[in-house]
Amino acid sequence: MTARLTPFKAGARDILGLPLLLGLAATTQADIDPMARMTAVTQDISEATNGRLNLSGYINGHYMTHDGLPDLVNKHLNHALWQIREASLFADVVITDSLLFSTELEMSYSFTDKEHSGRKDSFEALLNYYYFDFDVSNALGWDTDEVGALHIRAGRVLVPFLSYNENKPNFKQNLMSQPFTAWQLAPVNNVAIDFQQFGWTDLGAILNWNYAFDEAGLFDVKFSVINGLGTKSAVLDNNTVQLNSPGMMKPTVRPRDGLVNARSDWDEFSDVNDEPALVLKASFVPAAIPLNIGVSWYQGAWDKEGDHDLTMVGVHLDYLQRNWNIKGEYVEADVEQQAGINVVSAMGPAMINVSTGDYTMSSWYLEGAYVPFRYGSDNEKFLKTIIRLDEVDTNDKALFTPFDRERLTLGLEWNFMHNIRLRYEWQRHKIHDFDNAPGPYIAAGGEEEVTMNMISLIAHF
Amino acid sequence: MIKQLKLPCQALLFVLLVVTGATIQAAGVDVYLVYAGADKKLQKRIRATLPGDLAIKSYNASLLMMADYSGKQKAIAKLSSAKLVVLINKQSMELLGNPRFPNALMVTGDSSQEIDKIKAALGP
Repeated sequence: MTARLTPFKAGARDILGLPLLLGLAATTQADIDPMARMTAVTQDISEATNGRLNLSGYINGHYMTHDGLPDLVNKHLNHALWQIREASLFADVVITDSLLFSTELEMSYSFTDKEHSGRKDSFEALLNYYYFDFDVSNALGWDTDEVGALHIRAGRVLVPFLSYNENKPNFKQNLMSQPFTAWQLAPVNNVAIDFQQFGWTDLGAILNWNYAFDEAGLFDVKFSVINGLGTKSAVLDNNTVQLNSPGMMKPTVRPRDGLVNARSDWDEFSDVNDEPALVLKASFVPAAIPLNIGVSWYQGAWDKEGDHDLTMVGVHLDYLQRNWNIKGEYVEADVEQQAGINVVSAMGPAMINVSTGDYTMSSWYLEGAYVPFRYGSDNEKFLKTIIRLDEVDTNDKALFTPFDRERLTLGLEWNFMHNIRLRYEWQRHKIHDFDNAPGPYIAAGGEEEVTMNMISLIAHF
Repeated sequence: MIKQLKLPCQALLFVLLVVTGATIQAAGVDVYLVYAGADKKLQKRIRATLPGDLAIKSYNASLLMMADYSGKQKAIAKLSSAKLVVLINKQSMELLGNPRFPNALMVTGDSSQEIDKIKAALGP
């Protein structure tokens, strides 16, 4: 749709993006409370259906610019991006006291034209997840104080791996940008090269058991069988980009941008091979402090023949207080892969594109947020300061990949009215081993340091 | 845009209509005792003092610290089906995100006064 716009219209739309965002923020300062009204509507719907149909949702828009990224032939990464990143409607239907159906309709719209955003479509909509949740302990009348509670969830489910994927909506997070653990390793949001996915979901089932110890705390374990990550290609990280270097030569390279859920389409049910992937997540919340710590494990074959495994292990922690919180994740992924394969048929440097054989990816993040003061009725309005450090290496055997980098993110959030907040984020990325960067990457504008600025408006009901 | 929205929306509407149409009324819970993990023993004591003919269920709201992002909504939908939601201490309310239950009561202990409040809220 946006491809038909003239350059003037496309440019004007980008320029208008920021004032529109700020204008919306200013408008919502008036004597209206849109989120309270939305909540009231959903409560009316719930009451009209005797509590059976329960709706909620959120929306966020953002304006983002980068500096220091290389220019690509079909995507200009340093160009401003203005988009409704997510607009979601959650629906939970109580079928019986023990059976619940849950789904999320998620939409996204880019105001920036395709040439600059790199998106296939300006508008995307999908059912992010859809599943039935059966409360076995309730149906069988178990004494959960004695034996714990057991649920079975089946359908397209959020993959229970680490903490971020199950809590990705930005109103639940301190920052709009995802940490590298979720962006490059666990494919919560696919990397910007191929902007398609809204969360790591997959077809399968989850067995969830939890038990509350009297003094110690709460233990929760989720065991999941899903189709798993995979690709029909001979290498797992098979994404390619064409560098827009000066001159006639436009080399095609593998950016090695991390794990991508190649079958992320919401109506994709097939597996790439006959072997399901297994996921295990165990978490613990001590009774004395609001700390959620856990370990996650994933294993599954990613190739057509089912000969090569992807194995991931990770840990997470969330310490959540009203006025401050600390969050963090660490994840390592081991990929079995044949060496010496070049899947790039277009012209490009073999030293960059040939597969390295088995390799390891790793990533971590640590984030802190603090609310220095609150105001308004019920102290609901506040200012929040945020800092995040994260690091990623998507292939420890590769001579150079732009996704071997560290990053500092600073953020400021202003919750200026009921359930509506404005965020500003600044980032500085430092690419590791930049001395090994190939000439065409540098010629296309790629720099050792990348900076990012983003302003977002986030609302939920 | 409409074309791309059509299929997910059709699927959503179809599923919601079928599933909502197939809904069976909840089994009739009289009281849901909602507590934070640290109050498990208090919840047990309150439960033991309530009349035995009541259908009583408990919900540990600390579970929401490990739930996915629609966990609160799911919990609230389930709890709302009870005649009375008893929130034990402020922390249980905060873990649920301070929802507005039409049928909720907060208690801070298991004294006879607090138990009488619950019985009074349930009516004769």
